[in-house]
Amino acid sequence: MLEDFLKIFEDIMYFERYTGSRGVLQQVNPLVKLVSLVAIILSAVVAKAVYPLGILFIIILILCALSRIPLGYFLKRATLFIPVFAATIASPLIFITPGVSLANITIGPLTIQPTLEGLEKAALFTFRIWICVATLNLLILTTRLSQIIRSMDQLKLPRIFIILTAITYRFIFLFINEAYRMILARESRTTAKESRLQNLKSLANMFATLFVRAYEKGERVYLAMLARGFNPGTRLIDEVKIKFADWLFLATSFTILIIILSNELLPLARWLK
Amino acid sequence: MVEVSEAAITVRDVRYTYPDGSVALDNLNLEVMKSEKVAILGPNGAGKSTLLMHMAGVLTPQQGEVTILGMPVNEKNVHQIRGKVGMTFQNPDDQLFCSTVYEDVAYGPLNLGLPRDEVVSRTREALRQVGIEGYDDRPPHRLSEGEKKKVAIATVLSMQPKIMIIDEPSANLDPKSRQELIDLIKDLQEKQSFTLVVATHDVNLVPQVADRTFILNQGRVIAEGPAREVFLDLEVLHRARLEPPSVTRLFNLLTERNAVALERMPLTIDEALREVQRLIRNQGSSRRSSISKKRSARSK
Repeated sequence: MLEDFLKIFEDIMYFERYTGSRGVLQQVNPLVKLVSLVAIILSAVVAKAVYPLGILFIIILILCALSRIPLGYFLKRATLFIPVFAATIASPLIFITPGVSLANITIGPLTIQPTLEGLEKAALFTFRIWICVATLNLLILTTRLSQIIRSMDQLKLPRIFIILTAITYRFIFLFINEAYRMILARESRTTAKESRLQNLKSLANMFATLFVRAYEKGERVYLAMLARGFNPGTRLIDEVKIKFADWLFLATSFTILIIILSNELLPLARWLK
Repeated sequence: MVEVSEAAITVRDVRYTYPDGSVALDNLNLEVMKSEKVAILGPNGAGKSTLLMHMAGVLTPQQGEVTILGMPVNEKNVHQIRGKVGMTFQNPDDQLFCSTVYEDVAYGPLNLGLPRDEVVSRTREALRQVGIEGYDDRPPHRLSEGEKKKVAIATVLSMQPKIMIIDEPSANLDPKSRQELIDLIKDLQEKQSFTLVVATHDVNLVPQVADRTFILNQGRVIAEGPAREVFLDLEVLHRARLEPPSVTRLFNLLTERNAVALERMPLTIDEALREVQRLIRNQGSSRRSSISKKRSARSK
């Protein structure tokens, strides 16, 4: 089970099949792409009604098609975690939002009433999250992580944040593989079916060992960084130039987003006046 | 007058104890001259890596003194020393921590505060020298072990160090990658004549890369000298839980059992080949001379 999970995780995090193809998003400067897609996510967060989210949904699908990512694959990938999210985070909204009651559900002494407004709110919330996840997927599927990290550096995000992201990306697979090897080694010595408790115990041991190994590796990596004159202020290298087409992409995306969000932005404009 | 060459690395009475109380270096002394090729040979846990980290200015001695190119290793000098000494770690996964090969190789020069053009040209040059081109955007975890080792060397080459320190270069490599890496190190040293310090327990590697060898055991230098001398002292090797190179062991047995007169004890396959060819020639000529003696006796 755990092996499958590790494999799926690696597949999700490290998927570069489409980063090399010559789609639209692949050719946009990573910095411009990062800014535009983050703007889409922010728009989805502030949008209050369904229709701006609907337009964002269509835009995402168009971008996906233009970037030569198979639509079926993209939808599957973006929706993978949505049921879990809907069940755990969004579902309480159905019951706690006041409004027209749909039914009475009695569980022991407790009676709960799902409401129509609650259902709408939960659906909107889930849809909004879907837009955010799908946009992030667009970014990850069309950009190498090293490019994203470089763009974050160009945006002058705090150094510690960038170093942490880069090092996590570099070493997470190393430790996933290490964990995988440890599981295999343990299984090779497991000759009888273990009880659930035993299983949990050995899993806990494994994580403790992994933690110690990670700590020691961290020490060694730090020494290796020192040996090459580590200086926390050093910026990364090789910025890709922003071309005219990139500016055009940026301007178009912001114009569209402003039009979509006119309802949300108008009060803000009035308030600024 | 004898020309006195300058010392690149001097280690005087250095002692280093790990937090758990285990002694890694125990009043250790050694000296490496400029442009010299030196091997530090010792079993696992002899203190090799700890010694190297002192030489690279990563660890400062708790007791005693380490001097690199005339500068004592201390808080004030470490940054300057790290810029002049390049060290590659035993495990390339410790060494390579950036998200792409290119960034990793550029990391050292960037930290040296060099101008951008210089960083780019040094990075390109270092990647070319180790024969890893076209790998710029590859993440290090997608490389083979041999490629990782080469990139690890490039990350140091790009800093153009005066002293190159390599920890266990042959560990975890298949025979072909191992030989490629040895040839690369030899070639780079010949071209750039940096001071080379290689730590290893691979006895077959030592004669190929080093002129002089230190044998380290339990944090002390127990023998020092040219590889040939050191590998003939079986008692010392045994004490350090080492053995001479396979070729040397074979020829040791041969001289013991068949009383073969060797010109010199071979340490590498090439040397062994020359020695065997010489023996065959000699035997041939002695056989020819004995046959001609018999003939001349018969004709009389």
